[in-house]
Amino acid sequence: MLWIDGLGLRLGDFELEITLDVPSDTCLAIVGPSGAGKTSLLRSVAGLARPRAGRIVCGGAVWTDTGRGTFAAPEHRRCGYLFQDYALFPHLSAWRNVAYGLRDSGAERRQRALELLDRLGLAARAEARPRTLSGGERQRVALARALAVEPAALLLDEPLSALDASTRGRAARELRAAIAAAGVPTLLVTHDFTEAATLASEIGVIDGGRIVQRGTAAALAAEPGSAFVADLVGSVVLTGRAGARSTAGIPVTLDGGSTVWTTDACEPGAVALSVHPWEILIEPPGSDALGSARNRVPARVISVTPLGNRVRLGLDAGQPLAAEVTPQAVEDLGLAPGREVLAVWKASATRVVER
Amino acid sequence: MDALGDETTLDALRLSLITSAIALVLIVAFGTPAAYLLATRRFRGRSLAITFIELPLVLPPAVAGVGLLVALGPGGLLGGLIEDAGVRLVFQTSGVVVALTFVASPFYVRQAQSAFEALDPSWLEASRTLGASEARTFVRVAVPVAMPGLVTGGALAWGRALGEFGATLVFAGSFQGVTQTAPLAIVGLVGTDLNGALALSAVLVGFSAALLATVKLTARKRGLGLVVD
Repeated sequence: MLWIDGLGLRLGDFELEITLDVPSDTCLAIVGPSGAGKTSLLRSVAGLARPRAGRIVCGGAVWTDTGRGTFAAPEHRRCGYLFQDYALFPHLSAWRNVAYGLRDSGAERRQRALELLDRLGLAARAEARPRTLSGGERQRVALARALAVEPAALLLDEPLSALDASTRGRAARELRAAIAAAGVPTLLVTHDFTEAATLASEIGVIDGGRIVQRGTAAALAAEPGSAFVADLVGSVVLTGRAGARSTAGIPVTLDGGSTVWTTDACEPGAVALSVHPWEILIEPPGSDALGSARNRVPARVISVTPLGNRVRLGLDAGQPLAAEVTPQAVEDLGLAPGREVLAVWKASATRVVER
Repeated sequence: MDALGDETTLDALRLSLITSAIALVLIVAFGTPAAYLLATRRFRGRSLAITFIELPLVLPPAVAGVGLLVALGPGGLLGGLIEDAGVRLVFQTSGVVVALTFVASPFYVRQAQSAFEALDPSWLEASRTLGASEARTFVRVAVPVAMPGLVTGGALAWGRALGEFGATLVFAGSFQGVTQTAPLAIVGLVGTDLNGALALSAVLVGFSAALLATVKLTARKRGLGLVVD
């Protein structure tokens, strides 16, 4: 358990004030815009920044307690810190980077580093210098280096943002597996909600230096506490299996039932689709397909959350879905929790994201 | 070249090499951590410290020598302390080392400081999170990565120390075999033995050229990213 209690940090013209806990085996993603203090939060946990106030406790060890003047140096905290730009040592080969934090000596040390690299499919690049590695390889070396110290907590700073779209899918899969295998409290910060949703089991939204809402990705999409959270969540993600391409596009059988279409290109197999809640129309069940929208998914209303001049609907369509409609539509269609509806959107509004 | 066999020139060369090498060791030993602290810390009096370290760059060497006399000479500000410790500097070989160290150190410290400032701070932070103390981070990451800059600074400082004239003359004098370094010997020889002066000059030119070549080579190496392990 990583426990952050009343962490206070002065950041330019505002104050960061964070209280949160991350149980072992949990990956909590903190999502917020740039400059929201996400990296400062990670640095405080790692001991690289000294907070003005607060307590940070990990697995029974008090890392920071400003009340008692306790402040453990970074080298005594054993945080697996994955830096945004990876921060690989430029003068050391890949395996020496990984071995840097190992306590073993001689052949054993090298052996252990090579094992870690091999687990991430990098055995062949062990002697390469960081500058000759690709972005994806650097990310994996940095991950192996962070895991090598058998960290008490994992801290990930925008772990996928430096990668191009083609390597993100694989990197996300490996990172998920590594987080699960490490089995320690993991705190991830990112500005990208989709990245958070694909990697983390829970998401906390940071705004104005505070965590304004915390929950699963689906819960945040269905019932955002504010317009800020709703906008940050952006698209909702659906998972399914893509079929063979036809002239009409690619059919995707969603986990939980219905089949939808996408105009994006993708290989047959497991995929994730994203669609913006404001692209989804709500129709009464059984209504005929009159327009051009090809995706018509039966769903049940779970929640109705007003957000200023719009209303967010949390839907259950076999998996969580969210739609945004006007207050007028809520009244006209009698939308309330339990109501059966049809969620309708265009194949061209259905993006394929790497999974 | 026979002139090099002369006792005066040989003594001068030997003394120059020994004193400048000792000065270089002192400069590197104290200058490297100092440059690292100046590059990575912000503390009260930092600008003052930098100004003090860089002062010898702009000071006329003879004035630097007078300054050393006033500070360390008999009856000087710290002269009493030094005398009590049983050390004599003025007109001694140790005085030459002091003069060379004082005059040449900024060449090294400035170069080292900018080499350390060019390090990505996240390298140093990554080292800390991986269990290395600040001192270990300095040895294992900061120094190896900054090595080309440190080599350049060392070569420049050594070159400056070898050519030092004014401060040495004022503070240590010019006694053959004790304080008469090669540049001082050249001045002494010009009037009496031009060939000797020429030969000694040729040796210094060769040495300085070799140092400069080292600087250029390490600069090119750095450009290729061939950093020392």
